[in-house]
Amino acid sequence: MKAQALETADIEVFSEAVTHFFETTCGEKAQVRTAFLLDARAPLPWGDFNGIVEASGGYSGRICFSAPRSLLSHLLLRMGQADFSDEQHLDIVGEIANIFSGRARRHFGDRLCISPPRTFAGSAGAAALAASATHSPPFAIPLCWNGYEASLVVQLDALV
Amino acid sequence: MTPRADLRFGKYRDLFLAIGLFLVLDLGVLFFNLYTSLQIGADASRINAAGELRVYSQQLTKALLTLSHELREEQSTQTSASQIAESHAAFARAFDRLKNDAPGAWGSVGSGLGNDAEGMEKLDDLGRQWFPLSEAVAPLLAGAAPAQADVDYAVNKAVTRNVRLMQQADDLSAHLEGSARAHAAALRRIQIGAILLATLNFVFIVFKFLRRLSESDRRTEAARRETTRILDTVREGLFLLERDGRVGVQRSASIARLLGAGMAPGARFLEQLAGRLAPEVHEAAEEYVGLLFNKRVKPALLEELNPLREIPFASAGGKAGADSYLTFEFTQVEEGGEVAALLVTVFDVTQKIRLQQELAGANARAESDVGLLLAVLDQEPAAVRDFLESAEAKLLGINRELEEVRPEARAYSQLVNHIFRMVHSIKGEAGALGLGTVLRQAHGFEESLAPLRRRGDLSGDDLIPLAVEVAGLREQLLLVGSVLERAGRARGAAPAGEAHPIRPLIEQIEQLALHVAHDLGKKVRFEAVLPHRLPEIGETQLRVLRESLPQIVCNAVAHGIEASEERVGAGKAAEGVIRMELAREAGGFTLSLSDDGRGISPEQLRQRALALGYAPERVEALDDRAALGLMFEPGFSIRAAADAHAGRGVGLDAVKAALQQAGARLRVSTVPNAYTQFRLRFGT
Repeated sequence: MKAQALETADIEVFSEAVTHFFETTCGEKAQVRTAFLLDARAPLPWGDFNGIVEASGGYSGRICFSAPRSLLSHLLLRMGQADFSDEQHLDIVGEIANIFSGRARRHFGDRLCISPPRTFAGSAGAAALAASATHSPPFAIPLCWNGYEASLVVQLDALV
Repeated sequence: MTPRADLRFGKYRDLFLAIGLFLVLDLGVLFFNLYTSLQIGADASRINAAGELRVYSQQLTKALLTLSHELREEQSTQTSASQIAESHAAFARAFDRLKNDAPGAWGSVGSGLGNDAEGMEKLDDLGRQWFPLSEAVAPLLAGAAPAQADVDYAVNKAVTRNVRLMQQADDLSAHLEGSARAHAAALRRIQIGAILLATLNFVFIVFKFLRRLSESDRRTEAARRETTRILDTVREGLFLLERDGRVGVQRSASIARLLGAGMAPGARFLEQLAGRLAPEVHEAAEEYVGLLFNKRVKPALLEELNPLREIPFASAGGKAGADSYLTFEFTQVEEGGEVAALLVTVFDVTQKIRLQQELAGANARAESDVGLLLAVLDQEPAAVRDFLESAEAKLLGINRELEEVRPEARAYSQLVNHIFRMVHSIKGEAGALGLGTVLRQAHGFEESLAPLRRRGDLSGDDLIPLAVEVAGLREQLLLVGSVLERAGRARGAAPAGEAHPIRPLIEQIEQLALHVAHDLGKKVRFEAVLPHRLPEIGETQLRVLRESLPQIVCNAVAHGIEASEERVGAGKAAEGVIRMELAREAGGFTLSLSDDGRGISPEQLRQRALALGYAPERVEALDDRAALGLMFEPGFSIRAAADAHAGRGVGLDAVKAALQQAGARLRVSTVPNAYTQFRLRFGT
């Protein structure tokens, strides 16, 4: 089976999912700051809290959303939460990762299978993840919201 | 009678016959009733006549007795004589009425006894009693004063015969009454029979009609079920397009899947296609549908003209691009010699087209791979390696700048322009090395950048496609690297030549010039003039030459050298000349590249500057030399449309920047319709 790189629209699905999440939750869109390639061999830019979904079926790879504690705390506050424990932060980062599933299904169709989101705090938790080797380099998409910066990493190949 | 009419008559033949029989029966009963009523009228008349015979016999006898008494008493006999005459005459008339069979109304039986043998016999019997009496009365009717003897004779006859006459008249009456009753009974029987038959016939008609109706309903329902099953199952879209451009009621279920829910019964077909076909295809479809309703256009021609074959079709959301590929076929439905509607069949040919595209893509890839291998084998490995290193460094630089860019529209815009120059430089070098796959990828990258360069409101989202393009270009470079490595292994340990590094570069530039000329349909000869002892050229100088010369030579072929016809018209040789000359100079070397084309017109540059939106006052203030400087400004291009070889307006500004960086000087000299020369002066 041959791996094929994604097209722009395939990557934009995920960035739009996150920015839309901020818009519907807080009424304020997150802004895409830029987009660049990561060195496939270098470690991903893990944040304080991370949510990951693994792709399978007709695709392989993963989509990661990482955010600093301050961004998520602010988000929880805007959502009317009073509990700012680690569990709450992991829940919200997991919820953001979860929206990838629905959006991605609509765009890619049934060939894309996405795992339930896995969440962990800090880069230490990433050690438990198996390395994801894809043909395409990982795309990093830094996002700004209220002065905070989160990052979205899309590392995905279509298998043809 | 047409076959259809014949078929219709055949289908309802039983019904027509039954109704005909019903009418015949009705009319028969009507005529029979009429006939029998006349018969009964005649019967009544005869019974009446028989009754009159009895009454007048009695009156005559009584009048005779009265006359006899009045004669004996010598009283006036006038009244009795008159009564005798009246009775005699009335009796005779009634008798004659019965005896003579005068025809009745409409040829019916008359008031006589006619064929009634028994009645006639009774009448004859009665006549045998009456005629002697009538003869005896006859003398009394002649004169005013009858003789007593005649009266007595007549009285005698009347008295002796009257009882018998009355008895016979009663018998005749009884006989006639019996006959009338028989007629009435026959009439009842026939009426009952006819009504019974008519009722049976009516029941037959109703039964037959209902059965036929039920059979027809059953067949219609079966046909409807069959049609529905076909329309629900058939994979192709089927519907009728009416003359008014609306979709018919009957349509296959697959229509919703193929054309979306909007193509409902009654919807306007062409309106529903708007926005989902390319505008020019939609326009052609409108004209074509109009032609299809024209009976005079030949069907074979119509089939050839169909613009709706294997066309890209966008989804209902109206998003641009092809979600599927469809073919529409139209069959004229004729009624009364006119095209009443079109049967439209819609085929989903997406899979076929995608397979064709994949096959074409695979073939192109195979050709690219072979082309790439040949191109790499054709070049000095060191030149390709240098290119790869240089291009990889440029891409890394682009990626780093993407990562570090400030989130401001101005910074995004500057970055886009910078990336454009970098990519254009990579493209030029790839072209010089004949690396078509990299050239095409870089050209695609430029196409993505072109609309962004025109915008001043860029945001971070706009950079996502650029990261994707960087990945794509990098992949192509990796592929070239991989081919280079394999080619190197194939070459084995063959010793590298000791050639001067400028020689392979000159070969590349020659190949590039010929390749661009071929693409643009121009005739070009390349000449290189080198000194006997070549100057020393450093690594940096060589890199700058590799980056700059492809841009200059592309411009020379694309803008400088005219098409053969134009050259011949201007009194030049059909073949243009690109000349590269390397010369040693004190403290360095000069490389000049000239063409014998149309030269560069400062006026044309000024006009182009105005078209590109430069301030008119600035443009007017430029002298010819300064106008030539416009060529080196970012984004300036003489051509309005870009292709793979020129027209982006980033070539010469990148050349100028690279030369300045290397400390070299650039001089341009040109004479309209004669030549253009670029001189690059390098110090040591």
